[in-house]
Amino acid sequence: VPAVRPISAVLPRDHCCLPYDDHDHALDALVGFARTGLERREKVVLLPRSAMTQIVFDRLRDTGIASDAVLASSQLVVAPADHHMVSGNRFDPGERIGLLMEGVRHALAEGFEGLRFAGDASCVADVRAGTELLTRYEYDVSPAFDQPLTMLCLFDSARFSATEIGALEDAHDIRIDLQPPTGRLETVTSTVQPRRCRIIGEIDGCNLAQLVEVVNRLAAHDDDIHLDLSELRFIDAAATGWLCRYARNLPSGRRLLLSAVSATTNQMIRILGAHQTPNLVIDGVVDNVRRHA
Amino acid sequence: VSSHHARGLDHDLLLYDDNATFAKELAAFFGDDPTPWDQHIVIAPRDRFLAFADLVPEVADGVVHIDAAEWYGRPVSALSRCRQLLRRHRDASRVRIVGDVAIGHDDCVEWARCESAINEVFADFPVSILCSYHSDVPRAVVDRARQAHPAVVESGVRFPNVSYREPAVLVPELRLDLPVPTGRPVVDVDLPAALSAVRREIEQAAQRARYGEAAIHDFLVAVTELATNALVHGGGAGRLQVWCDHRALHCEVNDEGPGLRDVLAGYRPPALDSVGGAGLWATRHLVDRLELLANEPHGVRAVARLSA
Repeated sequence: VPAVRPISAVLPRDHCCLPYDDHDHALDALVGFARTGLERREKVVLLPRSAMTQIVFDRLRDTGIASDAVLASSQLVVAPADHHMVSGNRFDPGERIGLLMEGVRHALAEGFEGLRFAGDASCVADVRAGTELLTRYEYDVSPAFDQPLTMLCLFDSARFSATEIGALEDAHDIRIDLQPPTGRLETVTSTVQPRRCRIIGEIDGCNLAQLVEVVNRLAAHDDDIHLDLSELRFIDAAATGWLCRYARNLPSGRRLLLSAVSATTNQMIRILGAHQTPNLVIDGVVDNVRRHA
Repeated sequence: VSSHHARGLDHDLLLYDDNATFAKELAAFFGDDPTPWDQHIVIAPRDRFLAFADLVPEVADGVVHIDAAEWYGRPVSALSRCRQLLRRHRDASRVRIVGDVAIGHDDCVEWARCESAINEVFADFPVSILCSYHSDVPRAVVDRARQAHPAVVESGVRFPNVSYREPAVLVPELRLDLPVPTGRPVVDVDLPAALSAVRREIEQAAQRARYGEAAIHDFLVAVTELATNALVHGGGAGRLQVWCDHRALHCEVNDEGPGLRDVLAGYRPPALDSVGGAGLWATRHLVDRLELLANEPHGVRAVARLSA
C-alpha cells in the first residue's frame, strides 16, 4: 500500500501517483511537483495531457516558477503526454524506461541534480491492453530509482476502472494527497464591486497552491486583485514572497491590494525587501499580532 | 592598494581610538577622488559625526548621517539595510558608506559572519564600505572583524589585509555552540508533520511561559521555515524538537539530507524575481541565534533560539 504524502513532501527517488477526478487537482500537483524540483536544482520534465499543456505552462509562468532564467537554462520542459508517451497507438514499457534512464543521464550531464519527471498516463488507457502494459511499466521502472529520478504519474479516474486504479496505485511507493495536512485555508469572495477575497486560516508550503488558485481566479477580472487578510492567522516567507512576486509581475495598471495586513506580515514583507514592489499596495496595517477567525 | 576601484565592492576596516582620528580618516575617505554623482553616508553616533563635520564642514555638507542607534539591530539587519540603501541610491555612480560598528560581545560571531558575507553579497555593487571599530568595541568582535575585511585603512591609506579570509573559508569556522536544552521538549515530531498543529502546541506552551505575542509569532515563523527547509532541501524528512522555558524558545530540526551546500545560507537577500532563499533569510531576522551545523555522517542540524 503506498504511503500518503502532500506534494511538497515528495522526496528525491520517490515514485508517486495521483489518480485525479478534477483537472485542477492535476494542475496543482504538477505545479507543486515542479516548484520543489526547480528549488532542488533538478531538471523538471512535465508531460500533462495535450489540453492541459498550455494551462500548466501559463500557471508556471504566472506564479513566477517558470522564470526567464529557468527557461533559458532548459531546466524546465513542458510537453503534451499524448505525443510522447504513446507512439503509433502503442505503449512500450521497455522503451519508456529506456527513455527515462537516458533523460536522467542527460540531466546529470547538463549539471542538474537529477531528473524530476511527471507524466499524465491517462492516454495509455486508449491503447490496446494499455492498462496492463501501464501497470507492468510501473513495476518494471523500479530499478530506475537507483538513479536520481523522481517520478509522478497521473491518472484520470474517469479513464480507468476502480480496480485498475487500485492496481496502478499498488505499483507506486507514494500516493499524493492534495488536501492540506496543516491549517485549513478558507476563502470568501464577494461578488459585488469592488470584488475582494477574505483569506481565512494559515498559509504555508502545504497549501500555498490554494492561495495561488484564489489569486488567479480573482485576476481573471479586470479590476484590482484585492485580498482581505484580516482573518489570516499565519503566513510563511515563501507565501509572502509569492504574493510580492505576483504583484511585481502584474501588467501595468493592475494592482494587488492587501488590506488589514498584520504588523507581522508587514514586517515579513519588509524583511524580504518587497515593501516597494511595483503594483503591491498595503492598504492598512493592523497592530494585533495574532487574530483568530 | 592606494585608491578605490572604479566598480565593485571595497570593504575596508578602520580601527581607531578617538573621535579626532575617526574624523580625519573620514575626511580622507570621502575626500578621496569624489565625484558629484557619488552618494556619501555615515552611520555613527551623533558626537562622532559632529567631530567629522567640525573638521571638514565642506565635505560633511554632502554626507547623509544616520544615527547608529537607529541602524543596528540583529546583525543580519545591517545586510538588509545596506541593500535598501543601495537600492535607494541605485543611480549614484558610487555609494560610499562608513559604518561605525556598535555590536556587543554576545553577537560577535554572527556579526563577523555578516561582515564576511558582505564580501560576496555586495561584490558586484559600486559601493565602498568602511567599517570603523572604536577601541571600546569588545576585543572578541574586533579580532573576528580583522579576518572579514579584504583591506585595512590607516592614516588615509588602504593596505591589503593579510589576515583576510574568504567567506567560504571563514564563515564555516565561525560556529556557535548552542547546546541541546536539558528539559523535556514541548514538541518532538518526525517530519513531514502537520505544522499547523505543531504551531498550536508551541504557541500554547510559549503563552504559558509568558512570552509576548510578537516573540511567539517570530518564533513560529522560524520553526515553520526550518521544518520546510528540511522537507525541501534536507531529504524531505527529519526530526523537529522545540523547548520552551523562562530563558528561551529553542528549536532544533535535524535532517539526513545532502548537507549544507551554501555556507552563506540565510545571509543572501532573496531575489524578488525567483523562488527560494527567503526562509532562512527571514529566520535570521526573527530569532537571536540561527546555527546551521553539519550532522554526521550527513545532514544538517538547524538550531533557532529566541531569548526571553
